[in-house]
Amino acid sequence: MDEEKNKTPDQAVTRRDFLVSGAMATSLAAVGVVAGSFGWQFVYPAAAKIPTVQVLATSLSKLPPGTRKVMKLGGNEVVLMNTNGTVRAISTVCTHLGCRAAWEEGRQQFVCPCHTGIFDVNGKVVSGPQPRALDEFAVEIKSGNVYVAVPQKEGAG
Amino acid sequence: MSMESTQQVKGWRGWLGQRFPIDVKVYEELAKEPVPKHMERWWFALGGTPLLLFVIQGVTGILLTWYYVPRPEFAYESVTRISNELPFGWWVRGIHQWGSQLMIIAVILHMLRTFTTGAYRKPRELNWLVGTGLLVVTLTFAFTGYALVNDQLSYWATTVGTNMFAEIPVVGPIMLQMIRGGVAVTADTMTRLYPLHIGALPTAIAALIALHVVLIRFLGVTDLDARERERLARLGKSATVKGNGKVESSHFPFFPDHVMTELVIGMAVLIILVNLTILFPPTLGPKADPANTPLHIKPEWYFYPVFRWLKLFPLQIGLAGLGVGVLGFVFWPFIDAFVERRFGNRDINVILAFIVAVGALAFILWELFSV
Amino acid sequence: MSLNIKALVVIVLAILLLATFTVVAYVEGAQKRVGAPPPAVASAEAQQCITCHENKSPGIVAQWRDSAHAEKGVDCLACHKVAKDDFDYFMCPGASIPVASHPTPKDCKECHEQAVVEFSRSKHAALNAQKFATSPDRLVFEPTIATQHGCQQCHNIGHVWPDQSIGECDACHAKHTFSLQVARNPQTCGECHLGPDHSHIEQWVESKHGNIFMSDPDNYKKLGYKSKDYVGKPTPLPAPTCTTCHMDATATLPATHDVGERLAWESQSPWSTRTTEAWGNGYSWQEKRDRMENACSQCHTPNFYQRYLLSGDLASLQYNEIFREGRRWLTEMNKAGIFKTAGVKDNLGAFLAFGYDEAPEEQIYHAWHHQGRLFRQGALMMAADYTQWHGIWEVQRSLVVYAVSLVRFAGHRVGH
Repeated sequence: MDEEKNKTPDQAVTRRDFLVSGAMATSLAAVGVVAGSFGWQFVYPAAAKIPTVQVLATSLSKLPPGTRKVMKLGGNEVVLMNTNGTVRAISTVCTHLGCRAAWEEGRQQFVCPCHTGIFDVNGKVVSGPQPRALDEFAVEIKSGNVYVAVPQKEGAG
Repeated sequence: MSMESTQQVKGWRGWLGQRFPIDVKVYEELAKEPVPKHMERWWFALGGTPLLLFVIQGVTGILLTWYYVPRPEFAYESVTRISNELPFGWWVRGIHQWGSQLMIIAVILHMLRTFTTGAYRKPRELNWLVGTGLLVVTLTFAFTGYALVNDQLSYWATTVGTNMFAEIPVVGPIMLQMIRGGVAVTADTMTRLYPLHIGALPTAIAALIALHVVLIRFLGVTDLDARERERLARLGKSATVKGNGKVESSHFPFFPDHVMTELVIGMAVLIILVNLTILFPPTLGPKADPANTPLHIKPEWYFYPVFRWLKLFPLQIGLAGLGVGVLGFVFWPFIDAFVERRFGNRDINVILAFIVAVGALAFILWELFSV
Repeated sequence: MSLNIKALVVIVLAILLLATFTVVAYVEGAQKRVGAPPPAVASAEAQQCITCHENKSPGIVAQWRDSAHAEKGVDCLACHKVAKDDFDYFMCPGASIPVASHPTPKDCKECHEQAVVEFSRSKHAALNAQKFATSPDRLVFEPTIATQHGCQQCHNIGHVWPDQSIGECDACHAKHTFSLQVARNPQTCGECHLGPDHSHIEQWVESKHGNIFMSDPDNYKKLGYKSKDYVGKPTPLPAPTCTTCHMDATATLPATHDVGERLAWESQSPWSTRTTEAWGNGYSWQEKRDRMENACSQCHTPNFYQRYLLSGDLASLQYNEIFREGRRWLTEMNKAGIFKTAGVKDNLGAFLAFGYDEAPEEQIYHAWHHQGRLFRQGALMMAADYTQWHGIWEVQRSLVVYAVSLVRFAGHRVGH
């Protein structure tokens, strides 16, 4: 504040110069930010938010206890299993880096060939580098029908 | 030379000189700049090879764009057409495919030499940074390149490779979607990787190569370590050389002497490259199938160390390890300087290079022979 | 290394690289490429044919080049080879090469034995002109000038050659590509199996089978597959064409060139009969029905196709009952001496004397030969409108017209 009081005419010009360049830089930056945000929105994938939909998968009578079904629901590969009356829907997308951990009936395990991740019959990690169990989709049973809530993927398998 | 003397020249040289006033002599001088004697050894002349291969990749790459269609419905079919139907298509694609492999080998060999001889030390730290940038761009080239073929390996390598970004804290998931153009690998992924492969990356690599060369010219080629001179002397090898002028000197001209060395290496590389395309024509796996990950799926050999590493460690630890490794590699000149100041050790680079090279080789072999 | 030595090394390496380029050029030349003429697999003599015919009739050479034959080195003279006393011996005036002007199934049999044997016992083989000339149908109509471009065009499929082989393979396997995609195309069958008396292609078009198949034009491109590649596998088509059910292999049934091998009904003759005795392939109608059910079972459950085929069976039997009434009245007329009729199974002599020369006879012929077939075959091949309006409705209407004309005719005769 002291400096301001003691300013010389020369310094006043400098200050004005500074303000003008600052304002110019700010306006240019604003143009850049706004245009950039338009560009960002253009390239940001439209399908980034995936709605979850509840789909009718099968009926309980076709999935008696102790049985298993591999099916495609809304672009997701799902293994439906009925264990003593409890129905679960397990996703086969490996939790490591996204390859397909296919259900192998013979060994009763989910096996991902990419980095040899192995999951047990409940989707729990048996061995391999994967960080967590296979994802599960919510299952609801309404009047004998099995509904599974899955993300609605476009174009994905 | 001044402008006036340029104006005195008659004929087309004079005409051009007035309209494009550069001084040819200066550039001639620059080209003839003396480089140290040790540059005669082949080991020190590997830097030109990646450049040569980049030019070859550029030419064959442009040729391939004339037939390749970057949509999932057509990509695989257009690559099949290039490989099986078009005249010399298998050859152009073979040169491009093998060229990428040789380019990676060439970059690694050149970096190994730079690293073990300590050529990254003050004042050349920034050029090492540029060099690591060139390696990263080269590997990104390779990765985006084989994503475009749209066979099973393409699809799943792209899925796995892009999925790694999701683990980067905070911005990871957004980056993943930006790269993929969606939640999963889709048609939009291919149209994002394609301009990257044929536009952004070539621009980046050209800029980095220019910076790399300019820095070499500014800073000059590293002189040998004093101990290395002693070693050479013990072996009875002179540190001087008979130059063009038959005068004993510790330096020789870059042009034509060093350029000739590069030319010999370049010709040898070309012969290897062409023979590889004949012996092992370009391959094409089964078409991409998002519903099935094939058994025994593996990336290209140069990603084997990373691939095996990720199998060995839990996801986050594995990726964090990779991140630390990459950062250490990029900023190595500063770490090296710190180690030298603190412990006075000037050989840690040689020891480390040995460990990393043997380790990477072991991982590659391990992956190669494991089912 | 001195500069000059380096220059020499570069020269040597350049020569080496040039040598490698010649290998590249060689490999390029050896590449098999779509669109380019196949590699020189034709014999020297056949090459002579090709050189000349490339100008005289370029179409057939181009067709052959597209064929699997060309790919495998089966050249002109592999099929057109000839012995001095062969019936179709022909000395090519352009090249002095003796050739067979018309290869017969005997030639095809050298490589495709099973196909020719199956074909020879099939209903197609039984259509030869000799048998045809003596069949009751022939005497109803047309002057002989029409036969060359009319009936013979289709009935050639069962031609008996002087070398005693039977058939015209290129009726379906159009020369000179002999393409499976053409052979399986429903339109190929439809060249003959169409029109007022056996509207098979129209019935397929009307059926759900045809509709599903035609809804994706790409399906036609899938027809070129080889049956032997699909042994033990489901058929590679989303919906059947003619050959899928009548000829092609299923997972547990071999492909056949005997087109009647899966037909349980003879639904073309005046009476619907079971095929146990028909067409000489020695299988009972039950075995043939089993084969057809095998084809159905690729997409349908037994519950569905058994009920469907049972309805078809009943339609075939119902037709017999209607036709029986018409025949009964003809016999009565014959007995009463009102007019002479040749009868259904009578010989040529009877037809020459008393053929379908009275109006009621023509009516009852029409009810069998056109409308009765459409009804029975429509009912067996998923063609609703051909079962209903082109079928049973027309048959019954014919019966009424027949009855009216019978009464008029009889009244007229009795009146005189």
